Amino acid sequence: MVKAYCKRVLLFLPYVLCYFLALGIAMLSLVLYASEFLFEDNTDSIVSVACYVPDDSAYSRLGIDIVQKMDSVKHTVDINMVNSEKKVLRLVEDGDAVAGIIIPEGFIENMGTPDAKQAQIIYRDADTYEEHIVNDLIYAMSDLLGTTQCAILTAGELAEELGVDQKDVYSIEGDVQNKLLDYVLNRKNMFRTMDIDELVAKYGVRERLTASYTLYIIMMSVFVISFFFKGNSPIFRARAKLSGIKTWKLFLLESACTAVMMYLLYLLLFTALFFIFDTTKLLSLVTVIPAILIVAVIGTALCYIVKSPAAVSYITFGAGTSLMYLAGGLIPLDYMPKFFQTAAVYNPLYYLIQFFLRSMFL
Amino acid sequence: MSESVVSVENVSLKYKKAVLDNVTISAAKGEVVGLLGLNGSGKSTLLSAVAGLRKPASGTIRVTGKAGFVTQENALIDELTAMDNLKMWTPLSKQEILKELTETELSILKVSDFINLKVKRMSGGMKKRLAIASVLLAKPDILLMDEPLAALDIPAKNDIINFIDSFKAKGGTVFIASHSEEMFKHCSKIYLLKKGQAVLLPPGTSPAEALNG
Repeated sequence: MVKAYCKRVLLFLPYVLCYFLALGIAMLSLVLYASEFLFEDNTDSIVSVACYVPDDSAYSRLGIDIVQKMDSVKHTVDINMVNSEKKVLRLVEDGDAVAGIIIPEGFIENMGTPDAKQAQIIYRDADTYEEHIVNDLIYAMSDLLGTTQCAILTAGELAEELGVDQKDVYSIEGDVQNKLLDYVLNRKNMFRTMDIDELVAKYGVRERLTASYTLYIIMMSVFVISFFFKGNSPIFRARAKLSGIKTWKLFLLESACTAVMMYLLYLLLFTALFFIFDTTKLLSLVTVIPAILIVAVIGTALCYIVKSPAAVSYITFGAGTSLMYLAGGLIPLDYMPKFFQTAAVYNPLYYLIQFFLRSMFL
Repeated sequence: MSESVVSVENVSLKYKKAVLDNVTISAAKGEVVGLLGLNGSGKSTLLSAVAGLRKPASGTIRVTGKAGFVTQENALIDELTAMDNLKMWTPLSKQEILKELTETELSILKVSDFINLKVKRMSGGMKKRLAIASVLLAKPDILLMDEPLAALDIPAKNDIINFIDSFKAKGGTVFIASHSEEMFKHCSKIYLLKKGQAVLLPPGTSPAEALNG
C-alpha cells in the first residue's frame, strides 16, 4: 500500500505543483508589490519643496544631501533642487511645491558671524501642516550644518591662539563633512529598536508577509490535494479495514504523503524566494518541516471529517482565508484596527503564522 | 443438510430508526444466497454487518472462513492502473497476480485485458470486474456482493454471473444483494428484506411478485 501511495504522490505532483506555482507567482507578486508599497522611499512623500542652492555653495548642497537622507525627511519631504531663484518662486506659485527654500551665497560660511545671511523660505499657504514639516527640515539642516560650522570655526580660532597655520585646520574640513555624513547615515546603529512584540522587532513586514503568504499557499494546497484522500471515502476505509489496515495507519500514510507534497511545494517557493529575498535561510528547508507536518495532519483530518472534496474547498477557502486574514496573515496586524489586533491572540492561525515565520527566517 | 458457514441470528441494527429488526438468515457452503428488497430495506447494512464492518445492537453473527466484500461503490484509486490497485491489497508479486488473473476462475473476469489501464479511463463494467478481482485475490471463502450487476452491459453481466457460478462450484458461498431477476435465477435461496425483517421466499417465487406482495 505504501508503494502505491508513493506512486500516487508522484502522479499527483505535476498537477499540484503547476496549480500552486501559478498561485505562488501571484502571491509573490503581491509580496513584491507590498514591499514596494511599504518600503519605497518616495511613497510617503507628501510635501514637495523647491530648493535653490548657489553653484559655489557646495557646503549647503552637502547640508541638503544629508538632510534628505534622514528617515523623517525621506518619508515626508520630496526636495526638488532647481537652478534658479525664479524657478523656486514659480513652482511655489503654480502649486507644484508647498514651499521654496532659497539659500544665499556664503550662507554656511558666514553662519555665526556678524555677516550671517538669512535663507529665504517661501510658503504658498502658511501655517499649515506642511509648513511645520518644512520648518523641521530647516531646523534639522541648520542644526547639523551649524554644529559642524561651529566646530570648524572653533578649531580655526584655537589654531590662531596656538599659532598654528589656519589653512591646516581648514584642510580637514572635507574630512569633517564626510564624518558628519557617515554619522547621519549610521546613527541608526547607535540604537537597538525594541518592540513590546519581539517578532515585530525581529522581523520586518516583508518577512512576516512572505511567511504568512507561503503558509497560506501551503494551506490552500489541501484543497487540491483533497482529491488524494481516499481515507475520506467510507467504502475505501471499509476495504482497508477488511484487509486488516487500521484507519489510523491509513491516516498516517495519507498525512505523510500530504506532508511530502506540501514540502515539495515549499521547496519550489523557497527556490523562488531565495533568488528574490536574501533573508531566506537555507536552514529553513529543515526547520519548516514541523510546521508543514502540522498543516498536513490538520488538512488530512479535515479531509477525513468532511465528506467531499468540494466541502474541503469551501472550508479551506472560506474559513482558512478568513482566519488567515484575522490572524494578520494577509494584511499585517499593525495596519489593522485595534480590535482585530486584540482578537488575533485567540486565533490559532496567529500562532501557526508565528511558528512558520520563525521556521522560515530563523 | 450441510452446516451453515454464515449464520445471522436475531440481529437488530438501527441508525435513527430500526434498519434490521430481529433478522435471522443463514448460508451453507456452496450456496448462493440472494437478498431482495426495496431501496433502503437494509440489504447493504446486512452485508456490511456480515462483513464485520457494523456491529449489531443485538443478536449474533457467526462467519466460518474468510469473507470478501464487493461494495456497491468501488474502493479503487482513479489515478492508478488496475495492477497498482490490485497490488495495494495483496502481498502477491506482479507475476503472481497475473498468474491468478489468467490461470484461475478469475480469468472469467478478463481483468488481464486492461491490467495497465488507469481506473479513471475504465468503464463501469471494467471497474466492477477489477473490484471483484481485488477482493478475490485474498482468496475468501465467502463472497459478499452488493449490487454486482448494477449499471453493467450484457457481456459484463454474463461474465460476472459466470464467475459467481464458478465460485459456487468450487464450494464458495456467495451473498448477493440485488434488484436483478436474472441474478436471482442463480441463487440457491432468496431472502426478502421488508420493514427490517428477513423472510425466506419459497422456491419458485418470482422476485417481482414477492416485492409487490
